[in-house]
Amino acid sequence: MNCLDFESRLEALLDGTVGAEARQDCLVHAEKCFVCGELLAAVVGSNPSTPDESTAHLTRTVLERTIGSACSQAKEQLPAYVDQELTGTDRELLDVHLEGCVDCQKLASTLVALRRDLPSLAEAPVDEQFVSQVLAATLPRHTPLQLWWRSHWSGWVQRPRFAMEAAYVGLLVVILVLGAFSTPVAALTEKGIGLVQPDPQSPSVWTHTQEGLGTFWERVASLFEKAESEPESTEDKP
Amino acid sequence: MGETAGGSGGDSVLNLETLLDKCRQGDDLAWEALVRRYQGRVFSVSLHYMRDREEARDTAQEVFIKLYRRLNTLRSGEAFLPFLIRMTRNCAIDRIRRLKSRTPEQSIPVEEGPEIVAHQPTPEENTLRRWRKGLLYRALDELSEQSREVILLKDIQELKLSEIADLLALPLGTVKSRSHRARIELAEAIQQIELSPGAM
Repeated sequence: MNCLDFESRLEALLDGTVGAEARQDCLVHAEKCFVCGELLAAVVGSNPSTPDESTAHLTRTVLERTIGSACSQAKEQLPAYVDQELTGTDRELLDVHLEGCVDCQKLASTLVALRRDLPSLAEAPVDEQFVSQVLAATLPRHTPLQLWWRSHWSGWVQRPRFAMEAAYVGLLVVILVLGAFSTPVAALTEKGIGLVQPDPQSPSVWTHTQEGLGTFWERVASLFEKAESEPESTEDKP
Repeated sequence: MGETAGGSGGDSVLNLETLLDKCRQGDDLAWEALVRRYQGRVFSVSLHYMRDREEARDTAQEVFIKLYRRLNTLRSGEAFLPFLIRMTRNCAIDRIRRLKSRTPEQSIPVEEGPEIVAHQPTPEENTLRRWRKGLLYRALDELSEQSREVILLKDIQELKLSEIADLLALPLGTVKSRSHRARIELAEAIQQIELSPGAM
């Protein structure tokens, strides 16, 4: 590498865009060549991305003589910065401020710690008696009847199907009580009663049944009489 | 009210809506579980307003009794935690008014809560946590009433800005700027305490 090559690659070397091999070549050349070595030292020393104490002092002096301090504006934006709500240019500008301001750096660190620690105060320890006192003050004293109702029927009544079942039973009752006289089946009741009641003018089923039962018992009695009048069993005969 | 977030206790897995439904049906065990789940939060909020443990305890008890009476009037879909914190705040303010004058400023004593942690903390970790809590309580004491309240609601109880605006009847922008200012005040108070000799 000669001096011309070194100079052509100097800008890329400072930006960090030069390859590893080319960078090594440049550094070797700068060590060997006094002029290029001096050039590299001078350029790196004036690089604004690596501020030294003198440039920081210069920044402070300029700010003091112009706007005073940017800390008050930085403070206003720090909570949003910590909450990741600050984006784009505003965030980059605050980053630049924080790089050069120790006080705001400390404040930002404290805000980050607060964000982590404050939720731990959400609950305060309470002694065990507290719950029992609240329960004693709120839960009602149940009578035996209420306890019986809750243990046996409360759950049954609170089923979602209960309303539908109650409506169904209610409808059946209404039909039977009010609707029976005006429906086509209304006559069935009278017919049923007529079947079992004896009618003197026309023989009913009941009459036929009575006659049938009388004949049956007469035949049974005659069979018994016949059996008694017959001689003893013939099993002993040879 | 579809929260499952809760407080301490092993029952926090139970869905809040289910728990509230059971409470409305008169399930005593569900009510006990609800009280256990939220007692720490209610007591913490009461303590921040009352600044006295006994008064805070009575206020918390009053909150739960009121809550029990209003279980059936809770609107479905309303976030439960903001509702509970609002109720606690109102109870505390009413109590302060009844007491006429505020109790003298007292530092809130730092006690270890029944926290469930992933591992058994070492004595050093316990000491550090107690120290941090003590520092926070002391710094909170330095703040104005207004700043302390907004820190309590936004950063400690983690309510949304819109919920705080609703609770305090303030515009959203006002709540946001108050919250930012209060956090800066608190951070500066902490730095002051840390710098002071024999701070803790």
